[in-house]
Amino acid sequence: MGLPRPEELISDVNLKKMPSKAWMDTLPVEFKPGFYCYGAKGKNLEYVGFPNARDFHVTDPDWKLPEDWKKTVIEGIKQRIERFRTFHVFMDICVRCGACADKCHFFIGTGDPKNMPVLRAELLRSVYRKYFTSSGKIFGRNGGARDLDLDVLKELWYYFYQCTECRRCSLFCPYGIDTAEITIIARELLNLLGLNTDWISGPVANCYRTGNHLGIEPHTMKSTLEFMCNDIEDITGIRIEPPINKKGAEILFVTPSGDLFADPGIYNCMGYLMLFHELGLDYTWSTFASEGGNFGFFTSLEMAKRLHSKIYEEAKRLGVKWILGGECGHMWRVWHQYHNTWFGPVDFLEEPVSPITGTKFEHAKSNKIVHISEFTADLIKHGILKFDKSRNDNLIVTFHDSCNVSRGMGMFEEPRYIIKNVCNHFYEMPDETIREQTFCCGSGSGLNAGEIMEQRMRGGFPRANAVRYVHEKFGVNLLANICAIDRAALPPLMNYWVPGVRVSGVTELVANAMIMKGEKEREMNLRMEPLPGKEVE
Amino acid sequence: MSINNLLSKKRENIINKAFDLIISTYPEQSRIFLKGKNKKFTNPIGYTTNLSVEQIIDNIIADADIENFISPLENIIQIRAVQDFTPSQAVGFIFLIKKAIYSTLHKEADSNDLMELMSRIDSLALVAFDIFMKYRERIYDIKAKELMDRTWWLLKKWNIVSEIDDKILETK
Repeated sequence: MGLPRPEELISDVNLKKMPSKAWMDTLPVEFKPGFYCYGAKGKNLEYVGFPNARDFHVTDPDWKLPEDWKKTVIEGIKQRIERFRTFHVFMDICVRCGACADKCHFFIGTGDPKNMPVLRAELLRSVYRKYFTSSGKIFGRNGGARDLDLDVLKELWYYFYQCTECRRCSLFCPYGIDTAEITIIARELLNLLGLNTDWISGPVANCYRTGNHLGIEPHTMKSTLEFMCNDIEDITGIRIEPPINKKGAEILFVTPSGDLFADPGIYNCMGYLMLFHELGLDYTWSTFASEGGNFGFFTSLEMAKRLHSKIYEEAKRLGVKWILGGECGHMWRVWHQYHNTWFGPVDFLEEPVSPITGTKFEHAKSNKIVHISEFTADLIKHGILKFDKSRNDNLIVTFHDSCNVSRGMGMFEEPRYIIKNVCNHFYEMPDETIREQTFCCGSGSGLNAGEIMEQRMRGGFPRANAVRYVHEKFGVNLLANICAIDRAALPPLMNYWVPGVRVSGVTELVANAMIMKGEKEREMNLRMEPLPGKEVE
Repeated sequence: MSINNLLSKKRENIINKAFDLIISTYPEQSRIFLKGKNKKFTNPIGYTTNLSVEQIIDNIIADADIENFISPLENIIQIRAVQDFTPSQAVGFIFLIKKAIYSTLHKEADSNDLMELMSRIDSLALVAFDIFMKYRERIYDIKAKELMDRTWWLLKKWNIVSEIDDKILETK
């Protein structure tokens, strides 16, 4: 009768209708703008030989699937169970204790139960049970099993592209189930049907063809580095000639291509150029292995391997001794956790030794790859670099641990050590939000697409919330990190939740403070802004 | 007893009721977690919502000016503006606060006073709508700025676009 009361209007939608259903009954998924990535373009899938290459639009009822798609997925699960013992074990051993449930930034930021890692994995486990376990076959739904149909497939797609593979949940699992591995396999299965996203499949095709995610061709890369050197000359008075594709150099330097073009990554890239110049390092850039990141990792392990191999092929072609990696997150995990499985130990490079300090990087004995933060921390420890920390005095800094390098690889101290040596003001975020418990930026594993801004904002809310705390308590105005996706994803996140906090790589801070031989008196930082005390009245 | 005194006496009760109602706008399976009020960093939705409801109720008790309500309203709406809510659901929690106050006080409070208070709280719904739009517009701005950050530097360096140099203006 008549108009409802306002509270009834709200309750009617959310208090009564939605929740009283079991999770299996909440299909179909509703695709709302801002929360789902655009579908892959056929040309990008075709270029790398991915199956079912065609344009697909997520909101279209017809996803243009092959007729036998269901068989493909079930067969795909079977192959992966046989191939990956971990996947098989992870499908079977979860007791649904819920320890992981409230650890996911997407769950914490959305309150959507299907973003609980346990339930997200259950979306796939229920299908696994139906086709691969006796209990599932006999008891069906009562045994936690369900048929694979189109609505289920769409649900898998929706939620496995709402996981950033950050592994925070895995940290709390008493069985050590790595939910990121489940997401990786689920995405592989979806990829068998051409169900990829535009933001991932475009960079994969570009990287396969041109050598980097953006499709920056050799001459453009060369010019871009030269532009940066022009700016460096304006700032320091020093002219740098970056070595490119230099055969016989000692070190190959590879960084994510985001550092070559996007603000604020470019300032970090200028920092690399300045650091290597100051050291007189015998190194080279490559215009072919011009991408440290690996979006193939977000499609299938085979694709990741195909993209990854170019770096080693290039190292072999140029005849370098070892490889130095720029500030990147998942690049690091691919290199250290997957490389050996794919290729075995590298037999044509040498164990990395810093030519400046003589330090042997023994942990890199097998892969021959050193992270720039390890390299720089070692330089500082040996007193090689001279700094004027006051150049960074306008910055009150906190550090965001990037999931892949911190939780994934245990690198906690090096970046902090560097920051404390080049900045006077550094404050940590609360313990439960840093180091191995760090909160993801909300945009990792190929989810930093512009069309899912709302999803990224709520996924990054726990991280931003911790930044807001140190911003309000200590006046923090800079969020430093060592990951290119962070440098792309955190500025919008800060603009939404904590305006007034900017984002930078760690090497940018190093280069700002570093006193270079023969430099003029510096007036500006790398962003061409006046240094503290040099402001024009 | 004046309505402010009554409100003050039942403060805890009203805050708890309003908080529970607001959390009930989230899916059922998530509510137990979201109701944790004290985990500032590991449950920011629950913590922020509870704290903001407390501030809103305290402001009502203190007859505070509308400016004092902006910050707690922003803290809640900023979250709800990027969640699975329609615009009306995102700002409609004001009516849940009203409901919590009404259901707690209606037996004891003078009905005219209560009616007056309810009417004043309606103004928060109007302010809430402004705040909601502010954050939605911020999302659109961020989308545009992200595109600029990804491309502007290259456009300038390749002389595809040319900005007026600061130094030129200074010399004139």
